[in-house]
Amino acid sequence: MGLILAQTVRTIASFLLLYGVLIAGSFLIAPKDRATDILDTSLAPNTVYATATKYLFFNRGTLSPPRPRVLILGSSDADLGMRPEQMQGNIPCAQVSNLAIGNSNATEIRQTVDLVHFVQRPEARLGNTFVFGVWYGVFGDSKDRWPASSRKNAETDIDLELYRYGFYRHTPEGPHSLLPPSWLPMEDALIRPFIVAEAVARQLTGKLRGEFFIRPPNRTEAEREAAHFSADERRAATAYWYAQLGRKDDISSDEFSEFENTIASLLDAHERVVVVDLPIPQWHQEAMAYDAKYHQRLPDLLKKFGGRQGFAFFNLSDLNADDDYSDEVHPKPHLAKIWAERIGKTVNSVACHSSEAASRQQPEED
Amino acid sequence: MNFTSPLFYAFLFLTVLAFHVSAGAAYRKTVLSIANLVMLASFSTAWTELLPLAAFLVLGYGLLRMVSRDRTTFTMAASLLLILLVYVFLKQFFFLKAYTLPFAYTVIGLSYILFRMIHLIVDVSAGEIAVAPSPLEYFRYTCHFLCFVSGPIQTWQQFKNDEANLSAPLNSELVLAAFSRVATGLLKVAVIAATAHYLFENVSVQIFLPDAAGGSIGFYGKYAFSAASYTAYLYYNFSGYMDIVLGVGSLLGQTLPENFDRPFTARSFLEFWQRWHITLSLWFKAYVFTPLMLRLVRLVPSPAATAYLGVLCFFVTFLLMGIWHGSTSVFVIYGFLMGLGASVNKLWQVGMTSTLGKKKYRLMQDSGIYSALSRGLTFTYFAMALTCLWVYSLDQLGLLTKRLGFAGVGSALVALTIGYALLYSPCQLVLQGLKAVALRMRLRTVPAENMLVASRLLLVLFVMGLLNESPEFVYKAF
Repeated sequence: MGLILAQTVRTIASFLLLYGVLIAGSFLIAPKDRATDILDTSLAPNTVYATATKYLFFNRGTLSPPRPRVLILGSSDADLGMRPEQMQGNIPCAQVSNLAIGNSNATEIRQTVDLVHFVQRPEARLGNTFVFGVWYGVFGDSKDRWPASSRKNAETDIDLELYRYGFYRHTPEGPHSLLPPSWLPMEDALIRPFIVAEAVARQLTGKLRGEFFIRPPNRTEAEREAAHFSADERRAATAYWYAQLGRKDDISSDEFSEFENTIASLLDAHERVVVVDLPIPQWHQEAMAYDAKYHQRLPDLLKKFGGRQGFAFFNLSDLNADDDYSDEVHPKPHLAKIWAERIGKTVNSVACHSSEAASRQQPEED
Repeated sequence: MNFTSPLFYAFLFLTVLAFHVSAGAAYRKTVLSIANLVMLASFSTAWTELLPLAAFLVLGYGLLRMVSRDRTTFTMAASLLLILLVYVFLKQFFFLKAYTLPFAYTVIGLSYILFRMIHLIVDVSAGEIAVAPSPLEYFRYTCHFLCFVSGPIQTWQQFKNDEANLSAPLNSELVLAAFSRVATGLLKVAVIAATAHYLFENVSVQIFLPDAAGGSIGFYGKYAFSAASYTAYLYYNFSGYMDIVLGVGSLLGQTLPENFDRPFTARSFLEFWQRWHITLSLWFKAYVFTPLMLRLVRLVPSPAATAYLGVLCFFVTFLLMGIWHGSTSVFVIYGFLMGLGASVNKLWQVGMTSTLGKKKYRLMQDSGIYSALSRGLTFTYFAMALTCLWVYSLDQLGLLTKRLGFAGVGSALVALTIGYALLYSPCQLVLQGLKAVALRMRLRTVPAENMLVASRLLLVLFVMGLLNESPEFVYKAF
């Protein structure tokens, strides 16, 4: 037995030595970014974190200091249509961060809120104004969005990031971090070699994967502005969203409830919520019954939260001209500016001018 | 237990440690018996799920005792028939779907337990095994926790040799070699096979899209790539698992038989099967091919017919071996393709030998182009036949065949054969070069070996994190 234990020790020691060298090497290849005050998940591809979820997971510590914050959440249309740099000018009292993750559903939006709360003390949370950009596509069940063929238990992208490195464990109440928030930089350092390896692998294989695998197109702003969505593309898009919603007759009640519960818990904790009903092009509204079903549920949501302090609802239903969209859901850059302008003004009234916001700002003014 | 889960390796490690607490043979046999029980239990969530397997084992032992008392051909044949009927019922072959037990149960390892049972029954009946095993020996042999999931298929004699040497001491070289072999196995399963599987999944999914355009070069290419990547996945997954099993086995005083010997260097389909899943091939040779051949030669004693009888026996043997791989109807097609490959290969050998003569045929086989193309064709035929293992149903196979057409099948066959023939030699040169460099740099010192083991484990961890999946052992499904 002694021989086996000795060999085990030698193997572990060699492993740790090699891993230590790799950690040092990974910081040489990709030094830690300078700390910033805001987050913008759309910048993820330009960082070593490569994906929005990894970027959010490891950089959320940025959101810890107590200060007024506007946090944009939603899927890719929220990411493209509610740009922080375009909204910031209209919201002078708070820092605008974009935490949107492409293809999010309501479950993943709630998980994003949880990730933020994990790094914030209760007094810091009082400064939050969550802006949820939603449309029918956000209300698809996880098991349809991430089917068993690719994810055994319908894990969201955030779930994957939580459990991938063993820093979280499953509990009946949901993911539980094994380490306190102050350890996030250490977690980052410990798995830095993985992060760098993934970024390098993505860089090296990106072109090949784009060529041979089915991947969404990666287009520039100019290409999106000039895009024309053909009849064939429309057919493919409706088939895609039909599948994403599980080929059912209605949007998911569970996901809608999850969204309502998220709003309720935030309002109960005196955080502010702005729900933005994001428009889609008219042809898409007409082609998919889901859009009407989704809109049928909104009055109930407004009835529940409409009168509550710190809640606002806003829609952009007049902005649904087909030509203003680069595909079935994403606004072209010129429309995105209009979205950001209008949404920014509404968010400003909630984040900077509500009575709660005023009382929150009082201590700082003192 | 997932074979790439930390739990599995914790179980292996604890078993090895427990095994070495004492050198007493009786103690070590007890540890191995407990390990077998734990492994079996790990594949069920309720004890009732193990009942059919337990009944199957008890039935097998009862028949074995009966055969040891009455060594007539009739008793042996009746025992084999009964055990096969129960096996086919429990495995739920496609023609038996209407008849099933009223509760869920596990069939994992059933095939490999069957192989060992048949081996025992036949050899005890024939007097090759003089004394029938005791119940505990029978349990340790048929349910060997390292082998019962998918081999290697030890013979009873090999098992007895291992049991006789259970108290043999280890040395540090053997321990390091065992760790190294396990690390290599993990590397094959979690890095090479997982990467091949990732590529396969992402490309093959496009073949079955509702709007996939069959009849195009791009479609043929995707099919050929899927077939090749699945073959790589299957080989590295299976042979990697065997490395783990053999490595751990050596720490438990077991000299388990090798199951792979560079199968893709084979220059014919028949040679391929002498290198791929070797213990399965040997089992089928011993218990299907040879008895069948002997019977047919007795029926048709003409020497001129012997070679052609061999062709027929190869067809039947490989047909059965193919069908054994699964319980759905698509495996009948797979078996037919295996049988066709083996029998055509044998016919070619017979035809070429009689046309050219043995010497000229051997010269031709050794020529560069013939060798390269033979290797390419062997790989390609096997890879394309394996399509049956990843299409899952006859409908899907029909759809794929329709979309490919003769042109697609032919194009994939030619492209893969030539591609493999062209790539084989440069790849071999690179591998030999790497080995030579390692030797010259004296990478064979103990610290260097330890670093190599650690680097393999590190690579495993990286790729598992990158692909974000813990690959399963694919052959346990067969």
